[in-house]
Amino acid sequence: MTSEAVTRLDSASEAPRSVGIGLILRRLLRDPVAVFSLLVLTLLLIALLAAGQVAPYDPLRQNLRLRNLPPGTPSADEGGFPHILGTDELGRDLLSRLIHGARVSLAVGLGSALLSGTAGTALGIVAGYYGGRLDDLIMRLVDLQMSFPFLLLALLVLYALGPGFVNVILVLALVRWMVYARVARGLTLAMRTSPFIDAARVTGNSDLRIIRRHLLPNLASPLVILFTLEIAALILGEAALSYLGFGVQKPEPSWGLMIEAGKSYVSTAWWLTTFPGLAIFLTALSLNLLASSLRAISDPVQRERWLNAGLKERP
Amino acid sequence: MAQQETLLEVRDLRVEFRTAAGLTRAVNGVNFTLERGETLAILGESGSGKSVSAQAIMGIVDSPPGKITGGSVRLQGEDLLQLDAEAMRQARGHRIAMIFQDAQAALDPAFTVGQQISETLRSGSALSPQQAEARAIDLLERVQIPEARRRVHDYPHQFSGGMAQRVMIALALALEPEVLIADEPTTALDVTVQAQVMQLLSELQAESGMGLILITHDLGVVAEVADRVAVMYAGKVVETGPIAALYARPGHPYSVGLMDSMPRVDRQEGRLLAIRGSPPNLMRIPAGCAFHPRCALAQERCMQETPALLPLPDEPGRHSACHFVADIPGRRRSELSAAPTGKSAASEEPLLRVEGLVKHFPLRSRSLLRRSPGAVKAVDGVDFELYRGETLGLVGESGCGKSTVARTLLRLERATAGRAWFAGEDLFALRGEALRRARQHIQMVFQDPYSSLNPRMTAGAIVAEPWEVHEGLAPRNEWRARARDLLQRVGLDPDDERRYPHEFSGGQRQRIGIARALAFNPQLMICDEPVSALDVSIQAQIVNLLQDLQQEFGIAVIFIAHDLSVVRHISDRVAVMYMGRIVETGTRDQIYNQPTHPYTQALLSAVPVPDPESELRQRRIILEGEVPGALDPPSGCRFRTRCWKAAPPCAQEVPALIDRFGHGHPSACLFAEARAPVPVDG
Repeated sequence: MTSEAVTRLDSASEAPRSVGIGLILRRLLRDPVAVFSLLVLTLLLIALLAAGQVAPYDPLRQNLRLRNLPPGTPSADEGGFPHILGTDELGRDLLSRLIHGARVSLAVGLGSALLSGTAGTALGIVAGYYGGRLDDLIMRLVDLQMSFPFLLLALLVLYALGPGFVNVILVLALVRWMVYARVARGLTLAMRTSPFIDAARVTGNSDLRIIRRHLLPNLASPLVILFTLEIAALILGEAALSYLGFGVQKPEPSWGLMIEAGKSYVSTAWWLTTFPGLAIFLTALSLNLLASSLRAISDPVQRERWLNAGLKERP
Repeated sequence: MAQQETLLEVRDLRVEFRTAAGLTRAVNGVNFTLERGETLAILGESGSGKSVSAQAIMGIVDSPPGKITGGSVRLQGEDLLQLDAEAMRQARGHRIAMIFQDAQAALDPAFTVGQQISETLRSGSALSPQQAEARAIDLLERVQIPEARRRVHDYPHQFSGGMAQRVMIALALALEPEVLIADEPTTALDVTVQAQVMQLLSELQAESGMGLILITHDLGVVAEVADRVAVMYAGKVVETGPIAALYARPGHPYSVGLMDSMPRVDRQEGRLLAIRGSPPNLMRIPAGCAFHPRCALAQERCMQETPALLPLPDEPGRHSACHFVADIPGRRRSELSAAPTGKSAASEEPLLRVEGLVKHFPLRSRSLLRRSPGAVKAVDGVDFELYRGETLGLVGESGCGKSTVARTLLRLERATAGRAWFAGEDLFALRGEALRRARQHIQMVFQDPYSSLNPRMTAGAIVAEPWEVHEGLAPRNEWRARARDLLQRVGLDPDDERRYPHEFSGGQRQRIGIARALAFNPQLMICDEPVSALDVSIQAQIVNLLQDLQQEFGIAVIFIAHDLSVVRHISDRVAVMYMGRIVETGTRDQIYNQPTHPYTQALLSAVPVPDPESELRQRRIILEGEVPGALDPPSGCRFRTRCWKAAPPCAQEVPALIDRFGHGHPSACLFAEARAPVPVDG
């Protein structure tokens, strides 16, 4: 399989080659860093889709006799799954709560990243492409928000709207859109004057089509990376809001809430804060690592080099 | 040249770059010598290894990924490659110095030029700051920077390109090196400024007796200043010899090809003889003679056996690396006066008529209350006509407004004033759907083949896009077949439709750009510097392609270029622009044989001619100074500040572009008078 891939690559400049999903996957699986991040993210995805089926216990079931059991304690039930990560201050299974919490964290992260990404990118492209007053207006708004403390704004809005899952997504989108707007505007500005956009105009493309067909695909690579990084930042944001009591409400499990609840027991039950913290850390890390692979995959120029480098190294 | 003294001897130099993508053999055994007081030109296209060789000599190869894997570089007997880092640092500047193509970028933007020169001076000897500054002023005067005493305190960004290159030269000469390496020193400069800088370099060399290595791709520059030349291809020297003999009888098929593929400014020639193919990928250099896939003489032996650089019998000082040296044909000297491609401006209606075209770019003031602080007058009153099937060459130096004319005609910029009629329609009044329809008839070929294609679209998609945008031009089920057909017509493989732009070479990309323009079957094609970003051996291929297609489809072409040789080759009529205005226009022969405007005359005489024996050189006009800023152009005639004919009336009266001699050859000069650039025989 390997030698076949290599010979195909060697002839790359002589014969056109279509880069299929298969080749990309093969390359990804050969990269230990990518494999690690894919593994973590797959686990999270499973948690997101099937928390009820995977989690060994009901995350809300309390049992005060089983409070703050250390990791690895056998189950109190006959033949039950051991509490491999221990239990919390109300005797709930920590692993089950982590799995259900993943659902909340990821949903908030993805949801608000999508929302802020769409809005921010659209505004950024409009500002960069049309320029003038519109650009000034949008960018002053961005500056204004950049200089306003993120948590303060989030807390003010949540105070007005009331806490809750959907509101957290809205708020996080509201406080992060300008990140995309800045990046999208900068890239659009640089690309707007490039000859291939002129060529598209000379060909008779409408503005909308130029943006959709010529601008957006070329912005995709950096924006996808930003999107991935933003998910990580937003999961942290959700954790922070929940920690402060403005995010997801008890007893609903969320990683941020779990850390908040465990903080009083740091000296006696370290696992209450450590495992949710580790979950946040691993998720953010995996997303960051995946971002660098995505950058290579999403760009035809980089893809070539990335494939060559990865598939040639080990014969 | 006094007595012979070998300054620099390079033997079997090898440099490799090891990157993730593979092993690039940039330099594969380069040999040459440099005598005191001599100018050696290293001639080659991009990727020939000429710049990397220079970097290796200077000890500035990026490492990693670069690595010098063999050879020696002896400077007066001492091998520079064996020196430790500190000793090499001492040698740089003191004994061997280098100047670069982009002087502006090579200077430190955070320090004044005086500080930079002083620092270099004081690293070499114990000078007080005052002494160093005085010396810096001397040096700036030596490189002929006006008002050196004041300008020594200026920062690099305050210098124009030509002046920055002079500063760079002053910096390189500060420690009086034995050898100066100039890597494409004038490539980024306008032709009139190039002439100044080349002349300066020659003068300085004659004064100091240093050895000069001039790295360039420009056969004309080589012929102007070099004593000897080394031609490089794929990391090897394929031919060396004294300039006159080498130009008269090139000793390698590649040299022959280069010379034949270059149009000449001083002569009317027939179809260009292009070298086929493109320079090799240095990761996959062909076996045997690297040139064999492109060589007409290639035989079995050339594919297996690498030819050595051997002395030519009976020709002292000449070497060539070709198995079939004896069979190399002489240079083609077809001076057939090929009839201009198109028709003469006959009785018919012009396809395009431009009247009083003006384009000003207002400077944007950041304050809301103040009015705009002025405008860059890029185009300031341009009139011309273009007939069906004809090629109009629009020439001028950078910033003269020639590209802006194109962009306003393509409606990429809004004209400030003026009108243009295209096939009877008022071009600037078109809006919306009518404009979109008109675009089908006016297409463009761009200068930079690297950025004018969307990197995310395949070649096939790029060529088919016109049909996708304009419904009804071609039925969807025919797009693919038609795109393949177009790719073939422009000399590509139809299967290339699936490849992305980055998989093509520069010349191939330019072909894709041409195919895209042809997809419309346009009546007018505007080519903005279509070959200036390409290698010399590729330029001829693209010029030939454009000419063939134009004849086949009867397209009218506006050919914008700063390269007067190419314009002469391809145009029926020529318009010369200076600071936003056309200063002279006429048929090709009128402009090139009997120019009447002083600017045209100077421009033509500044072009380096790839012929060491050319008589053009004795009649050279070197203009003073550089083009003034377009923000505040000189009153009256804009050329008067650099013109040797300038008289008081020139400052008051704007000379009209009128036919002063009744030959249909208008000139915007009060003192217009014909001056043949060369004896009119060939």
